[in-house]
Amino acid sequence: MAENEQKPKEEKDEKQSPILTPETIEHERRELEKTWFEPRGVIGWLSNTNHKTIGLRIICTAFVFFGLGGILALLMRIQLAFPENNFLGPDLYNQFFTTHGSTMMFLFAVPVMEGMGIYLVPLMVGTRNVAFPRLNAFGYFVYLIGGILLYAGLILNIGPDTGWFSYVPLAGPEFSPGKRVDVWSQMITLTEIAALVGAVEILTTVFKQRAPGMSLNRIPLFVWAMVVTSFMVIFAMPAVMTSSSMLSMDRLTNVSTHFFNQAEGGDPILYQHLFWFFGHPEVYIIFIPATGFISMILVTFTRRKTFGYTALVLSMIATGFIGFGVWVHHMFTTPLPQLGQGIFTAASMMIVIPNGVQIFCWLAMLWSGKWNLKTPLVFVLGFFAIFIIGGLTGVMLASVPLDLQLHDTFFVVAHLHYVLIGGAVFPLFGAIYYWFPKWTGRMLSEKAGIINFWLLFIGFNLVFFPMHILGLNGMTRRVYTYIPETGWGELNFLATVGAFIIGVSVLSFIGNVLYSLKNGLVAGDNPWGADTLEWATSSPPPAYNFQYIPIVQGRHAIWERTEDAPVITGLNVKKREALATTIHDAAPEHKYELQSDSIYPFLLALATGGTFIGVIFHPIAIPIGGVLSVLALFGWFWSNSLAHIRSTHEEVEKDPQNPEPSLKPVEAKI
Amino acid sequence: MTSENSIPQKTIDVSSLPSTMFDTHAPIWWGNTWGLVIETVVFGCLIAAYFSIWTMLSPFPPPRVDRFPIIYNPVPDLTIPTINLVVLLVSLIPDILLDLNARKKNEKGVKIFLVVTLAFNIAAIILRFYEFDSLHFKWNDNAYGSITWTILGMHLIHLFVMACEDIFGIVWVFAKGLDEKQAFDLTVTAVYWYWVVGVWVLLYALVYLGPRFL
Repeated sequence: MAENEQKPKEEKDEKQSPILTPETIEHERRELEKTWFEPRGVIGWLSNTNHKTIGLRIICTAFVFFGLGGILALLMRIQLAFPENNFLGPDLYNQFFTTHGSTMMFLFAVPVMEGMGIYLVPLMVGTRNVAFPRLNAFGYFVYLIGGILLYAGLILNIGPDTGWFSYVPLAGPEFSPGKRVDVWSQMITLTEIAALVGAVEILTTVFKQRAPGMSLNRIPLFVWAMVVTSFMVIFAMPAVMTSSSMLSMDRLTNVSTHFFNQAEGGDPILYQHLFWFFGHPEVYIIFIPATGFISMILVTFTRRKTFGYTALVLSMIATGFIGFGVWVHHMFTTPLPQLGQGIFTAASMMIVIPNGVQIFCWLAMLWSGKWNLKTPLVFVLGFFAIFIIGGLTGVMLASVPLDLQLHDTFFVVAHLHYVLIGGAVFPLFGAIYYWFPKWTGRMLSEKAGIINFWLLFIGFNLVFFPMHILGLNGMTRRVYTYIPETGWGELNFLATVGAFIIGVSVLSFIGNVLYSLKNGLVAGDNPWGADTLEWATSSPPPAYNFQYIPIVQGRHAIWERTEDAPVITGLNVKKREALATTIHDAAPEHKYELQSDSIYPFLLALATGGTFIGVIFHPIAIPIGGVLSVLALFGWFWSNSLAHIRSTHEEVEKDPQNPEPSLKPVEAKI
Repeated sequence: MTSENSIPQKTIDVSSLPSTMFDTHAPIWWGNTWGLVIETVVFGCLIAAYFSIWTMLSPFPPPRVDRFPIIYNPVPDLTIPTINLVVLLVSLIPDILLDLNARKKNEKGVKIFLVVTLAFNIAAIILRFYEFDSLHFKWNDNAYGSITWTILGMHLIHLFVMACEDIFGIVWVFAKGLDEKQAFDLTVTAVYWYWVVGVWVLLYALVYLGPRFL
């Protein structure tokens, strides 16, 4: 990288770039404000393509679904608080646990992590917007439509009731007539489209739009986490889209395929394979971004450089790979060859190795750093306690004989909540406390944050620790009640009390957010003294993120910046232009005009959503929706191409001397 | 950096950099490639499903005995599928030429090869509809019919998408001429067609040759 640092200086000497004057800076800032102006009004709201706006929308929507899923959980806990309780009937209980699980996985956990990525990644890599802003907006609307579909189903008494993975034959046409499972499978397809869109955005932005100097070995760890996650999304999500589409086709009366119908040569176990080939990587799709939060928070709040950067990156990549080799451990109760059992047990245990490496790197940072014990760090400490317990029960469940005993019991419920809430929700809360000042310009209250943490920590352990014991005692999942003679009443009551404490904790968080939006301390650009580029711009950042794209001189961009660090000038301020850089070294390569705001992504989302919802009722929705989608896409591309030639013409008119852009690789020039 | 109160002392001027670069240099090329990876994984899942159903059926494909003519070994016919495979493979020639002409910004060549590529594309779509008959089963006859129809159908969707992209390119280039962005977009579209043809070679072998020779 030493070479890269030299290059800019040489070029500067050659070109004698003028030093910026306050007048130029002010003039260019005003131009950028105009160019990146975010549209207003209803149409404007639907047309906006700014990654920060879209990112915050995704995060807020995901938290709304988190709240809804949480309310369902509370209702379930009331039902289970006493033996032979009749608060919810069996049918409503089935719908609630299915909707709860589907919400938390598909409408909260995955989207909220991608929302964080979509907001933060462009800022952290020092660019103006994601690579495909319109696609980004499309992703949000499709996700929203998918979420509304699920809850509309629940309200209309066609809420899915076959569990969050909807196994066949239970979810097949024979045992689940009606539209309930169709609602579920179309929701899956829609939200997975959104997840895939987010992954494409993040990968392309990180590959091609990093600030000059941010070579691969200087990318912030959260960005690495999102890269690994996005790869996993790309390889995992198509499997669940395939399985949910096959399930739909099997169920639709006018289609009636036989993918999972054993009588006609179909294979019910195929469904489980396809689902879990997605389902297990899904866990890491949720967990790996959280490890990114932890790495970022630890650097800032232990005030030291990353310990084991390379080890942490390689651990995430290794987790990503091994995560695809463990899915059969969800299927140990299906007929499997012993060799298969052995391989998947070994792989499931092996994944502890990269995770262990990560944990030890983090412990080393805690050990050797100077703690600044603020709420984000407190949540990370909570993560250690809870996630490690969840990880240990995971190793237990990887063992086939034990798994056969515990499969479908509350032990598994306890394990998965320890892993997912401990591994993802605790770091996520820490991350919100950490980045809230960047999003809003105001700090969240520390006092309320600590209350939020302790209520969550205590409530969480009260709910889920007893479930280990209940599971070992034989209490099965997805059964709406139990008889008094089982002796499970006390522990269940304790769990219900814990659930309400979590509820209070979440309310305290919401109160904190609402209060601090208006009354929080003013944050300033970098309230925590953090190291990454998002803190090098104002809070909240301007629509264009950075007036001048910064040059990165080390892994900790702000901490390692020298006094005379140069900035990038020469991007056209009259159009939405970003700098494309090379993949390895992030050397400047070419200018890249980003798409403008547009209503077409919303229209395409309506067409796509309409197609998938309509097909629940009749296959005719496919050709109709197909034509509408093509029309929306034509509008999308036509308007984009038009905008592009317009801005190019303006540029040429303004500067007739402008030479024909050369296609030579730029490395030669610098 | 961008802090409002400090004025950067040094600058690097990038205004002379080009505004378009081809292939792996371009973000859109990457976006397209990720899309193709996603679609490849979808086909991977369908291939897995195909083999999974194969293990459930013996013989494979199952004899067709529920309607006339009864076929005891209903392996798919090869004639029309093979013609279509050849059509798709030959279509690579105009597509490569389209790619090259777009790079040279040769508007006339682009117009010619856009139309020729579209003609091949439409021919492949029409032949595909006849291909379904070669399978001897309907999608709802049994799981074998379901998976083969789905594989052919998924690929048919790509043929349609490609036709739409071609039509868009034709309308734009004939109406507005060949600008730099459109030329670049056409090279990315060409990559998509390479993939559509390439993946079909594999799927053809699986669906049509598999039951006969494996």
